[in-house]
Amino acid sequence: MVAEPITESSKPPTQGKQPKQPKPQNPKPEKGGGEKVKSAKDLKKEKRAAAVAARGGENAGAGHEGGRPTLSVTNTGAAGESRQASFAPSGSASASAGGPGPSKPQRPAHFSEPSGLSLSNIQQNLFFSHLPHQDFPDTSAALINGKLHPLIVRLGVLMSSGQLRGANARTMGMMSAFREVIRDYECPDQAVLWKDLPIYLSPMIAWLEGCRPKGVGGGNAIRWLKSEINRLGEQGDRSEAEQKDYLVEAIGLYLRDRIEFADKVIADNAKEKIRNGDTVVTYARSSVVERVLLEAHRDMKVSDPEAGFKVVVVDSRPLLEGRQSLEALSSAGIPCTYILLPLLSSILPQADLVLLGGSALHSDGALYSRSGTAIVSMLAKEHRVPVVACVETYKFGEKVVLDGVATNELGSVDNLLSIPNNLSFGIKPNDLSSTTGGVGKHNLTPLHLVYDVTPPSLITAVCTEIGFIPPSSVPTVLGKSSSVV
Amino acid sequence: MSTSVMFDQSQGVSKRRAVDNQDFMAVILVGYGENLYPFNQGTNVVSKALLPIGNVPVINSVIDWVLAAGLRDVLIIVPPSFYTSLAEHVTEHYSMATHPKARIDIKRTTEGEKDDEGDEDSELGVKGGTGREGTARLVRRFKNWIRTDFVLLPCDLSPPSSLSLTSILDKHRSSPDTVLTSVFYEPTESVKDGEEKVLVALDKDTSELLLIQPLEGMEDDLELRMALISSHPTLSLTTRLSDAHIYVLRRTVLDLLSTRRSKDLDSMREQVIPWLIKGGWQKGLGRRWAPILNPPRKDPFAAALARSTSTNPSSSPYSTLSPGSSPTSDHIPLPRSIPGSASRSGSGSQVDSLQNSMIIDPEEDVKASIKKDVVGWKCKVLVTAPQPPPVESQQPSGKGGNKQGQGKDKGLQNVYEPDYLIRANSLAGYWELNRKFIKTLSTSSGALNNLSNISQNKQIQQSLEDATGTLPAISPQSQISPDSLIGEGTRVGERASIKKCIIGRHCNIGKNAKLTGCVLWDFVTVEENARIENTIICSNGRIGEKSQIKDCEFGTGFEAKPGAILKGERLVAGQEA
Repeated sequence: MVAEPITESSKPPTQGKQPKQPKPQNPKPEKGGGEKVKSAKDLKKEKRAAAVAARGGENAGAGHEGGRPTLSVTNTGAAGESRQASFAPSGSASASAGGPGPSKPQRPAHFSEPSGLSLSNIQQNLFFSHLPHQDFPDTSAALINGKLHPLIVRLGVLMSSGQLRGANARTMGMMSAFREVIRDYECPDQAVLWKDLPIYLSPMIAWLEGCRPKGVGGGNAIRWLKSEINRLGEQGDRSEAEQKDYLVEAIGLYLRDRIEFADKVIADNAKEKIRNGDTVVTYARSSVVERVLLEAHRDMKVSDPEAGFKVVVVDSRPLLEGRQSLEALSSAGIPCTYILLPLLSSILPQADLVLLGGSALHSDGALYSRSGTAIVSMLAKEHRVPVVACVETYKFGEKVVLDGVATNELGSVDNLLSIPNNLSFGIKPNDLSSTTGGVGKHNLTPLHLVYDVTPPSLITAVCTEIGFIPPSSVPTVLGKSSSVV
Repeated sequence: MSTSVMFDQSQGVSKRRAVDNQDFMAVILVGYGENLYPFNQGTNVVSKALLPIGNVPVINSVIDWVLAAGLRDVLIIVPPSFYTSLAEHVTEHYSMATHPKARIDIKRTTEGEKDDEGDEDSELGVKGGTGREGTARLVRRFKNWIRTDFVLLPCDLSPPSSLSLTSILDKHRSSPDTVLTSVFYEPTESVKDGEEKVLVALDKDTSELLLIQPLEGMEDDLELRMALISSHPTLSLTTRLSDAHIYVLRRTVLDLLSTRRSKDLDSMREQVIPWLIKGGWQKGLGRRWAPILNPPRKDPFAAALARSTSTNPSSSPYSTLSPGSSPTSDHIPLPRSIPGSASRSGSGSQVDSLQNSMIIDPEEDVKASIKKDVVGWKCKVLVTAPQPPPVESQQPSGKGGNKQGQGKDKGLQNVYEPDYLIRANSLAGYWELNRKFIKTLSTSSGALNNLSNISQNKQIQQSLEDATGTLPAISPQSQISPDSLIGEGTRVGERASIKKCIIGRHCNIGKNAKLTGCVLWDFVTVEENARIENTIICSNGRIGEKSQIKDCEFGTGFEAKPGAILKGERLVAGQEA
């Protein structure tokens, strides 16, 4: 990654100098003082900065070299203006595109951007530019291209539009889509199924990844599917129909065992921790947690109609997923309280348990979940309320993730600046300039990170289908399950 | 593994055939053009689909629009009388050579499956009635040709550039419980009067379409059901919008149509769509239709959607599955590495696993019965209006010093043309489309095009000169404004003046003729010294010498006598003023 841009940096020297500004400014006077050792380090720094700048310049395009904020105000404005004009149809893009970013680094070259500049321009600043963002996929190109099954196209739209949200839902959707794809698949005459099928599937996987990153759970599922296809090669002679049947059935079993039954077992396990009269705190919405609560409530009512527990649904903008959770829980007869995240510390003293869902559990035991989860668990630890994360083992990841910056996703910022029931309507893009009233569009960066990372120290226990485990046991489970999977 | 795949890829990609099936197909209905009076009468009537706009039939814009969205299957349903001409046109313009992927199927309205009950009955109905069958019945008749979800389009649509079919389809794709996505538009001022006025109720938050009611025949009071208001407290009522007749429909709507008796079916727009919309919020209707529209286990994503954190538990059909705790939940699943024996077929196991998630406990019956209240499907709407002239320039644009750029912006905005959706289903609409086309010729951005146009014209001229070796086709003494379009093979006589005109192919403009703001189709003859203003002359028309014609529309083959003075007439062949 580094080597490539350096070669480019020699090409546009003017661009190369841009971001040097913030960093080398301090050392320069020092250099005058005559510190040799440090200047060597600086040289390196400079080089790296130049590399970053080269990447940034590339992105900004030829016309915007002058987009340096301190150099000349006019230039920045003009660059912003012209960019705005050119992006006018994409609406929200224009609003803060002209932000005084000293560098506009581009995403790694391998990341294929489906279309649209809107989000990338808004959310591209130094720290988060590497993150994939949700962008509406170009379905017409995908269809014309003809490599995608229509079901995959539909799935991509559902995922990127936010209709299909949540790791379980997305993994399930993806696997059921591939099940249908494999059903419809016909192996070419000369090809061998187990060799040909991965090639057939790979553009679809790539396209879905462009619609929304599949996450650890989805990645595990795909890896499993590929190994399963690969295994067909070892199993020798079988007709194409048999092989397809095998795969279709295997996917069904995977979904059943790893998600559905896992959820059932998790619900059975976790509901033991909810006692009569408890107050349970949940954050946002998780299909597993919802199920735990519903089943716990039902069981409690069966054994003793008087018994019951309360649920506090904690929610936060902009997704407000907790509302749906609230609706499901309260319609089942569970007494609920709905609060937004800032109120959490006042409610926690009465809480007995915090139940969290998650998108992934990394091998150091860190929970990767909806942004805000970390705050919930931190406050819960402060108030000595046990935190239980409900995570299926298929979501266990082998990576170690230290913060929510290196790996994350940029979400839609459409609703970030508008009140929730003032959604845009029709096909007109919800342009930010109107929602902010034209205030400060050049220095405004609405940022929506979808996930955050909860360190293992804040998690009391992880509830999985193999029982309650401490977060530190993830590698053990991974080691075990990898042989199984 | 990876190496073998890589190796394979080098050979495999080339022989990989494209995925063949698609999730949507387009159904284009070609009508008779009832509202296009002088064009639809007389001999050699051109189908509405072939009305030329800038010498290109209007249906081209529809087909191009469809193909641009990546759809491949197009079914065009044509009245038998227009079949030949349209089939010829389409096979010529959309041949395998130019559009290798498109599969355009043209059918006569009579070709479809016979109505299942009472053929004679319907025949009688047809004869006794208007003689033209309702669109709904047509669609139903062709239901065996429509295998997927489909988008129903008129043949006379000119979509604005801001509205791509992809965006409409994506809207439909992204809301899984939508049965119908329909497009409404704000018509331009000039077309407004011609359009049927309808009252539309919609919910802007959820973009649900709730009511369509023609204003005509409505009493002074508007009655709205309480159920509607209570379920959609923020509904808005408007009369500004018109129906674009773009309906994205689920395939199962056809199943619903086939439960109706064919004589009860009439127009899609006037009858079926309003019905469907009512069913979306009237619980009784909705529930009755839900089993047909939402057949169980049809959607492969049902289980996934039930788990989605953005699925609304009270209004989504999928959430009924969500708790899904089955009595077998005490069964501990053994992580099985090898899927079960081959005796269990794939589909069987799928049903199994689905059932597992669908079993609802007796305790949850109460909840389930509440859930039954959920209709489970709805109709969505997409409203298209021209974007207001960009407001950015009015906002303080950050810092001063870029006034120059701003000025430039303003200069651009002065020529900003609101991009309306226009349908050529009335004379006003047809006029508007032609005006729009002429404007595209004359806009500043089109200046270059004009230059090339002129040079092209000259080239044509030269080539014609070369070919015939005799008279130049377009006389150098004629005056042709840059915002005019002249079709090939047209001859323009000396001192003729043509301004803001669209002139078809093989026309003959006589000496000293003066044409302003006219639309001439193919093979029109204008004799010497004629003056024509704001007039549409259909194919094979003939305008006698020294006639003066203003604000007229003439049907095919109309001949104006020499020296005729006509103003504001709509005439067809054989008629006299």
